[in-house]
Amino acid sequence: MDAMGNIARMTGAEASLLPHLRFTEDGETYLYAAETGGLFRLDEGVRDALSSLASITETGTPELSRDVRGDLSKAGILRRGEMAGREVRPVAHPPLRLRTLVLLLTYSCNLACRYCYEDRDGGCTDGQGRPGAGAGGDATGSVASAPREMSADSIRESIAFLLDHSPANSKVSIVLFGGEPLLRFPLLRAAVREARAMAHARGKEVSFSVTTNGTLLTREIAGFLKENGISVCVSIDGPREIHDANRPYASGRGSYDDVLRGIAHLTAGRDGHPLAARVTIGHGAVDVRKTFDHLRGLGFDEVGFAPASAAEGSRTALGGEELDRVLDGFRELAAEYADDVRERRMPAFSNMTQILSLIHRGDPMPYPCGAGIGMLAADPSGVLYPCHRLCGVGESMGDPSRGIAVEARTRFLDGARRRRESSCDACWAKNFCSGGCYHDAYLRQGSLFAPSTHYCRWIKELFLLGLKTYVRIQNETPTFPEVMFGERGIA
Amino acid sequence: MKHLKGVNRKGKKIEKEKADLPVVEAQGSIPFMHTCTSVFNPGYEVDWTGSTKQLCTPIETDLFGTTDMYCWWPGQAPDTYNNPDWNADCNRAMKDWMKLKVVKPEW
Repeated sequence: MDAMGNIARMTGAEASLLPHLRFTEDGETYLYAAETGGLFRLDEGVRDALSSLASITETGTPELSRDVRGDLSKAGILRRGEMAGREVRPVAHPPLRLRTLVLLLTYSCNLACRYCYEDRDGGCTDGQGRPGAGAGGDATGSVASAPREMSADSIRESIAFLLDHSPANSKVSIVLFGGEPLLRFPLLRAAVREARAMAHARGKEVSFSVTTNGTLLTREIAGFLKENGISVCVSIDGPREIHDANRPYASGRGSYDDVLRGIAHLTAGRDGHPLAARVTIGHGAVDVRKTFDHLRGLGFDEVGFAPASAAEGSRTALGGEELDRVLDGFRELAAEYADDVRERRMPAFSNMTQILSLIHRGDPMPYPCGAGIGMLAADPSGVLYPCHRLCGVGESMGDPSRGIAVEARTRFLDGARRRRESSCDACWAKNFCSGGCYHDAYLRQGSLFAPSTHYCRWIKELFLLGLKTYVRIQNETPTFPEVMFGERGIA
Repeated sequence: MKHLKGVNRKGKKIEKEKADLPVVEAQGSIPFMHTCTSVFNPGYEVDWTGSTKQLCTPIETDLFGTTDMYCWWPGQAPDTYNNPDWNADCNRAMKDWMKLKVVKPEW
């Protein structure tokens, strides 16, 4: 037995390999370590060592040089056996540091999008502005009697709650959401003015964004949004044939022309404020390349894609082949993203911006999103939920008059933590997806805290694409990541 | 780090760190000597997360801390250079400590 073997044994431990991904790009080999979030370039010594480590057994660790073992331990790839399988100790959840509040001004909508709320045929409104079955409620319709429109009082209380529960000197963000928030434009306008005054009185800054289907935008509304620096995210699914198929009015008439008219109001007299498009990818509408080009042509600065939340087997759920086609499109867009960066053009593929940001920072991600941590949503009755998608689904997080439901919040975050530390613990992509969207898991698997296994393969492919794109950008344009995603980064 | 080069911000940070605790290998820079007093082992008071949970573990977990260069406690354990098989059946101290062999001095 040589000294190395002795040392390994003396510590009383076999080693275990921790979740990681090895990949090659441009002839070099790279290693992403999930435990630390570190991304490293390898030399041949480590590459060979990793191959031999794949044969770790109960009886011991293959012999590695001290340097290699030290590097792998430090990077978070190798762990001494004593530590492996250790019991996960309960860790306190982060305190509520509210920065974003989503206000569901109304559940009503003038469109009847194909993928919005399952099994609803009558559109989001019943013609009198009241929602159709399923909109915003749970499966049993138990909130059918709850208000469908937010009152001015409720808005005021919600904004005060946000301002009072955000860290001192912080900038807070209010997302004006629905339904279709522009159906209640006078209310929206009043909310913005009131929030500004309330924030000013408390010495805080507030910013706004609105997510709209774009059909109700007028010159007056566009002018108000511009004057107030409100970020606008328009839901649009692509060229006319795709958009009209997915996003018709309840009558069946397509909404594309109206959205285009609305966008023209936004783009007229632009002042450099970025305009973002949010595309929902659903069954039969997966040509992301074509959609991306179309929307860029319409004047959008950013285009982001999200798969429709849909129950398994529903008519809007994406099939496996369709997900692959989406990924093919994403690969093309990612290559162009790196080209844009090299040529000093602002890249527009916002999914990639988000992924690159996660990769650059490499921070652990114990929860899949900020729901219940930095973000809450208030439904039209003012009741708080972890996010806008979860309004009416699962437990509420309290309301402005009674405050946060501390135990419900703990249960919610416990569920997220449990999922990540059990089902997802051994996955190299856990710091990217952290189990996936609660709402999607709820629709597909009936539980907020089921891991989104239906997306696992896809998510891993997507993040591998992100890692490769990141490496390419680091090699070609090394100044970009820090400028974009660093401490003072703009993304 | 000699073999890994940090690429993202976290990777570069890790690369710059002098040592990550408690990687036993980091102590390899200390000259090897059979003594108990010249080595400071911050060791088992805290675990890698900074927890003091290890304070409550049975003394058997310390057995390997009393051997060779890691000797931070007046050691009753044999050195593994002269007795390489002393701990052969003891992969996990807490579980297998009864399998440690008795070493009979020879002279």
